[in-house]
Amino acid sequence: MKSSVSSESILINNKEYTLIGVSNSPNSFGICDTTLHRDKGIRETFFIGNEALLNIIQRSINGSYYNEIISQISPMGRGEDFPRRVSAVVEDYFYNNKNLTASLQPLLDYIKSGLYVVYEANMIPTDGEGNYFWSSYMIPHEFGGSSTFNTVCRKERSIVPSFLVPTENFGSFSDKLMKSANERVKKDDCAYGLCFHLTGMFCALLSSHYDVTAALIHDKKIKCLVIEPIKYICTEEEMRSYQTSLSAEVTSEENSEDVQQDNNSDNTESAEDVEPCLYSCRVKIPFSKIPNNLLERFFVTRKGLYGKYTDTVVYNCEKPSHAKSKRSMPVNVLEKCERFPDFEMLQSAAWVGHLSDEELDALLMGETTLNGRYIINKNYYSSITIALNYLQYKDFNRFIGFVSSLLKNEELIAIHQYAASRLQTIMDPRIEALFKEILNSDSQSYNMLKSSAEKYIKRYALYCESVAASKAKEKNKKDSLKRDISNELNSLEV
Amino acid sequence: MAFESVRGRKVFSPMTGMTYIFGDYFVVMKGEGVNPDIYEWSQVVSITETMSALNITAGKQSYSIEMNAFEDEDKFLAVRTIIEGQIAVHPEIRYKFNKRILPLKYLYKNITPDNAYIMKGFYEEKVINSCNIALVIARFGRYMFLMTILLIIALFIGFVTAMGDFRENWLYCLPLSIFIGIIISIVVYLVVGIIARHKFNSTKKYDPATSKEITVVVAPEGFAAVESSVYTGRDLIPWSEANFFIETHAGLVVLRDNKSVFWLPKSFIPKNQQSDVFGMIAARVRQR
Repeated sequence: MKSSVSSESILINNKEYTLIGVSNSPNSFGICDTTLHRDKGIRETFFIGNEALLNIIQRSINGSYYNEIISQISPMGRGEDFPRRVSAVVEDYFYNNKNLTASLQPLLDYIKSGLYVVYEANMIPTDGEGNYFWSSYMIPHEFGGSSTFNTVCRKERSIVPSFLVPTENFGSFSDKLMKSANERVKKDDCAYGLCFHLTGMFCALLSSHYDVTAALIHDKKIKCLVIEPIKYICTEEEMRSYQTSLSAEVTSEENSEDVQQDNNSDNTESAEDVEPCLYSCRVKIPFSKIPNNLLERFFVTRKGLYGKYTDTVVYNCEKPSHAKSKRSMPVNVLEKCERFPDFEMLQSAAWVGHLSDEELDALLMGETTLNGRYIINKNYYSSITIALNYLQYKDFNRFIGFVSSLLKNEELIAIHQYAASRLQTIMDPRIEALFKEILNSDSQSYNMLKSSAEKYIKRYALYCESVAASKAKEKNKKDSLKRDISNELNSLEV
Repeated sequence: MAFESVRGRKVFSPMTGMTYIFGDYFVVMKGEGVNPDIYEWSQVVSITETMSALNITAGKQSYSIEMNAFEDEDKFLAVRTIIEGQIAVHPEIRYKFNKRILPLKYLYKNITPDNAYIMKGFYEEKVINSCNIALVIARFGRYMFLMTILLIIALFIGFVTAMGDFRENWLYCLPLSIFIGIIISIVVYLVVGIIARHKFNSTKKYDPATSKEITVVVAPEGFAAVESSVYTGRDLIPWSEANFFIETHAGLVVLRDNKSVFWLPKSFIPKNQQSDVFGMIAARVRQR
């Protein structure tokens, strides 16, 4: 039986989202519940046909706010039909400018029945903690920002699922394919791909692994079409309670293209409407914007739906992982990954719309409220860490100022180590100066920070050396080029 | 939760013009442009199944879905399965239901068996009746004997008192009492048997599942007897829920709290597997 698909484009905060309802599908790809023993938690598996690709394990049944364990089990077969279909979708949508639903059709015939929201998003090629995405999921472990509902934003705020989980085998990394991806991406502004939302801030990358890596090397953006299954609703009561807290927030800034602005645009969503919404990680869609036939599809589709492949997937997901490799990317690529925003920064930025200097000063004074309103939330240390991460992502100069005030305040010793850890990957002379100050200080409160300071100073020295070396190399290159040109000119003159 | 992989169902009621959706939520859609009423199952207060309608009270609202709104019996059975699966999680829901032949779905647990005997077939009236009679005998057999003796004694005392002189009349009264006592006992036994025989017929009126294909599962972890249209392969009643079983020439009945919950006609089981299946059951539940 052929699956029946219906779609609707909706505009929320000037951003376009496409709702796609699928029914009577053969359920050949998507996420299915593969839990065997519920007392040990819930396991979901991202599958394509019989193949179990990724396991997502929630260690507690009621653990929607706990980070989940994500692991790659087996890679997607490169020569098979599915990768061809995915490539066709990317080609049609991004290069041939085809309509979204028409472009997605080759996949919609197979996707698991249910309701999906599809949108474009800028992705980050890391695991949310500064590690290169393709090699991070071979060993199962917990990933920050992977909880079903974000620990900071909860169900109240939307957040862009930006971190990538690979579906191809890193072990069979091909330099030839990398070379052609390098050439392709150099020509374009960014790399394009297709993702399927897994959990929290994580999406499975279904295509273009080499293009994404090339974009990382050449500092290009990664733009993906994200297919996100909608599984939850926000009831009227929940929305009312969110509205109360939203009205207490100062809404913020102009849209621009990067991920952060994507987040903020949704933080202002529907402040005046109180109506139930469909909840997706990226956007909350009010019921009034959804046609009844799609709404019915959402409610008819049950979370525990099984397909004809589920039994085999349950069996296959128990097998040991085939996605292991000892290969590693060059150090400069890995260092680039460390500089990408991590999950803490993104979730803090999604939660905090704006922080004025007055509010930051109040936080440094030990206050959680200003003018009768919570600055961030009622927990002081949580407020400080959120503010710190928000500033690190949003306003680097203010971040440096805030973090140095924080480290100089001896009453805030409990947060010192966390703040120092946030600084470890940022190479900046002001931070080096700050750490030198800490190292030279006699204050007892800095004892815990001294090893971090030493480590940073050493790392910064190495960084400066490598920067100087690369500058010298570049200068030599330029000089030799100049020399060649002048020699050539001379020979021409002669 | 048991039966969570049963596809949700929508039911349009021409009488009220509303669409009811049974799934992970209970939803009442009142038409385009009107926000639907969405209830989590914990908000459902009561569900009453009658011959003519399914009445649901959720929050402060009451909804009545006429039986005609369910386009076919399979849809009604699926809705009933979803409801009972939710009742297992929310036992606070008041639930009134009609007579059943199959075990109630809220007894099931989400268990995927490793090895199971899966059998399919239709419950035949003859087989169920024979099992019912066997059940009656098992349940009332020993009491019947006691009742006969008590009846004979009572009749004897009655006759003697009526005739006056004990010494002269006891020889006439004793055989008479024994004869009448046995006759009455046989009549009672026959009446109980006739009632048991008609039990299936009366259930048939109320429960559409009696005419549907049934999937029966016997596994080391538990057992199941569900309509094939809602069979998922992942839901079993653990053996701990059963008290004992009775074997008759036609089949096997598992009882829980003195009520039959699981019927396994011998015709369902391939001959070469019968001893294995019965052995598996006997190893887990005591036989009466």
